[in-house]
Amino acid sequence: MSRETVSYQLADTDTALDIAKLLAGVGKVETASERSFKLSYYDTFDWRLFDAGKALCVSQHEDQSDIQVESLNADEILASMPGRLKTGFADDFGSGRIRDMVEELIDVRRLMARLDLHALRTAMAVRDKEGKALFRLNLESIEAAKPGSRARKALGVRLVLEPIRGYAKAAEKAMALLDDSYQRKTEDRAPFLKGLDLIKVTPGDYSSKLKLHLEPHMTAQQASHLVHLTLLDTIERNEEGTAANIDAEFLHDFRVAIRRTRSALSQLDKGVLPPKVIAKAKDDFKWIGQQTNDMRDLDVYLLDFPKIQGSISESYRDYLTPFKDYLVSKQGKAHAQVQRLIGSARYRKILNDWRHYLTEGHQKSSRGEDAELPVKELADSRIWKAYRKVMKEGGAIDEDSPAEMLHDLRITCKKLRYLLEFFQSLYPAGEIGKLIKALKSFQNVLGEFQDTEVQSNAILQLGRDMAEAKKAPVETQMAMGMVADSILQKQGGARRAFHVRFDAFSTDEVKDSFKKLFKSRG
Amino acid sequence: MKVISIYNMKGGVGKTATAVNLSYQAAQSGLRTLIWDLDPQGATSFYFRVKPKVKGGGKKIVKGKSDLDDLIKGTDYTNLDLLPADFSYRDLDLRFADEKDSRLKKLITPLKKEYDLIVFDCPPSISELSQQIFRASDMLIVPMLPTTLSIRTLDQIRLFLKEEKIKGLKLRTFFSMVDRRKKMHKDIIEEFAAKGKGHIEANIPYASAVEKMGIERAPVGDFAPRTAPALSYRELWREINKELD
Ligand SMILES: Nc1ncnc2c1ncn2[C@@H]1O[C@H](COP(=O)(O)OP(=O)(O)O)[C@@H](O)[C@H]1O
Ligand SMILES: [Mg+2]
Repeated sequence: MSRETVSYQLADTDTALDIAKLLAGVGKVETASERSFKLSYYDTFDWRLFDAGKALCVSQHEDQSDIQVESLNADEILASMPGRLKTGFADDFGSGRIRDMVEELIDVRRLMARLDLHALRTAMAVRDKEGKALFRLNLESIEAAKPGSRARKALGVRLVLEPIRGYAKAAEKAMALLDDSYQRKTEDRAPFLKGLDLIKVTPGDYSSKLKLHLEPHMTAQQASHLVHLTLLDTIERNEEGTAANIDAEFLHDFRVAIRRTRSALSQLDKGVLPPKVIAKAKDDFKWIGQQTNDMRDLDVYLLDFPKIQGSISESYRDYLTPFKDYLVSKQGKAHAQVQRLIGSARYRKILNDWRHYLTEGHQKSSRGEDAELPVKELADSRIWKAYRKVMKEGGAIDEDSPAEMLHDLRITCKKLRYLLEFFQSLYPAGEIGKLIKALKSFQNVLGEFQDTEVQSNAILQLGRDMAEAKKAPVETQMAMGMVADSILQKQGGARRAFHVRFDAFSTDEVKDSFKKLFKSRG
Repeated sequence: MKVISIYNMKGGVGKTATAVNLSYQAAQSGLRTLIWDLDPQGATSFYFRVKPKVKGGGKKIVKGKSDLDDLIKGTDYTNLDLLPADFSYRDLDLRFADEKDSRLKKLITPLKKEYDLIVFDCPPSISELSQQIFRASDMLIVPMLPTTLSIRTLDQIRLFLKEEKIKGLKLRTFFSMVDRRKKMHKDIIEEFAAKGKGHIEANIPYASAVEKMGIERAPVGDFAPRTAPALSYRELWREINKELD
């Protein structure tokens, strides 16, 4: 529906009157009085909208508020609806186009304020004899500010011409006139991007993906330090959002970084860092991780709650309300525990000491026997070993194997996965990417197998706790039993799927790729 | 994309007023909306200040020789476009008679990507064009005056749908031009609401603001947003939208 707009660079002294005079021959120029708008831009912590070439803003003028999705490439509005943000989650958008555009991208993340633009806008319309608008003009002077801040920086004055469908001729005539007097802004960057520049925010400065670039000529020790420093950054960057409980992904990313750190300590650092350093760091990060377990479990239940509810017949679903209330109150307590952790002196010291060791402390300490090995060699051998172990454990599992064997295999797979991710940049992207993908889909069934059991047991335990605290009416307990059962029912399916996926992971093609990439020729 | 038709074979019941105001409300709520003025008299086009003229006329459209995309005009409102009327629409009946029953439905399918809602403002007749419109629609919205005679047209519409074997079309009714002071209006509305299937309870009052649309040449929601009719159309749209999914 929206036609492409054209914008012109104006000087601070140019006025709406100048424009009206210039375009008087095209039609009747109607100039509204100047209005001030506040445009508040939002994105998730990891810039999911920006990554998709979009921006979301809430445009406010007096008591009128609209939510708009803009395209960053074409500087145009893709969709708009009246309203404002309440929570910043996808539910805010009701149903409709904006939700369709945004929900898939932001998923469970919360939109956070990123930038305020303050625009003084004079809206003009040029009309035909019937009074029909032929095109619109907006004369805008824009300033940028950090969200909520009073300090503003000028972004300039521009005139935006918005053609109206079916009236191209008039718009073209106007453009020809404007071109004679003003500079057209070609490749104009969206004001959002310019505004971010002005407040010195770099969009895309955080991603939950592990962005690590290792060079083959690095020593094992250098690579290890770089891996850990990168993970440490991720841990620290997620502290604030975790403490403020902005959305569940902060803690999730925080925990993944802790887990990767621990995995690197046992998988990568052996023989590279001194045993004493490894042992202490392992203890420290284990301690940190443990205190976040409760909160993550509860976050998962709450995120999954619609699914949990959907797993039993509609007529029983309302009985689960006390269960949800219980989860919410427990999550609050678990969150307080995590807040205390992040605020604690011990936690801070662990992270500070670790950073100090990685940047300079190591120079004074001893090093492992493999420290000087080229990282590529270390990567080859560690990945190859982990891969062999996966194949051995997986191959030993048949229909009758006890569940423990699948659990063990799950852990072995995780180790392999982390190694592949740490060392990814040392191998051709396409080839190692394929292997990670194959492993991932195979890991998913193992995960589901384990989760079904753990979750159904956990729900029974929560039911007992609630009963003891006299917070669960009989009907709620019964409904929770149904949930536990329906979860457990899925385990059989996951187990069957395991064999199919393991076969897919055991093909000669996958085997040959592993051999080619990692098996040393020596 | 959903398609709704504002229809009644009687003229002067408020079809055009409804089509214009409902489209406006839908567009305001964020739906990309296209209103197609199928009445050769072009009242809808007039309200939007657009010339009731289409290049090539109805003939080229029915034959599939016009790209509808090129005929569409943007209105003065966000999210709201118009396919104008044309005097040649007066023989659309004949044109469609040579085509398959689903011709119109097929003509509008390419618009799916661009619009969330299409609204047909229908001419007052019961004909070949009507059945084409019905087959292309998800919902048929029938404005009625609160008079016994007006309600009886509903039976004729039902009969027509049955004879033409048109299924899966939601039929919805509501009262327009309601005068609350008239006892007869009140009685008829109460009686009908009690037994009418698919009846929407939001009534549109008889109001001078609606008549003023002809002077302002704009939807009431634009020039008189806080008046009773503007709020009623909004409520009517809410009710209809609920039943569209
Ligand atoms: N709710 C209303 N209150 C007052 N006048 C109305 C109302 N609805 C329609 N009218 C007027 O009645 C006349 C016929 O309405 P219109 O919408 O054109 O009917 P139709 O399209 O069914 O022929 C128009 O002059 C219109 O202004
Ligand atoms: Mg009409």
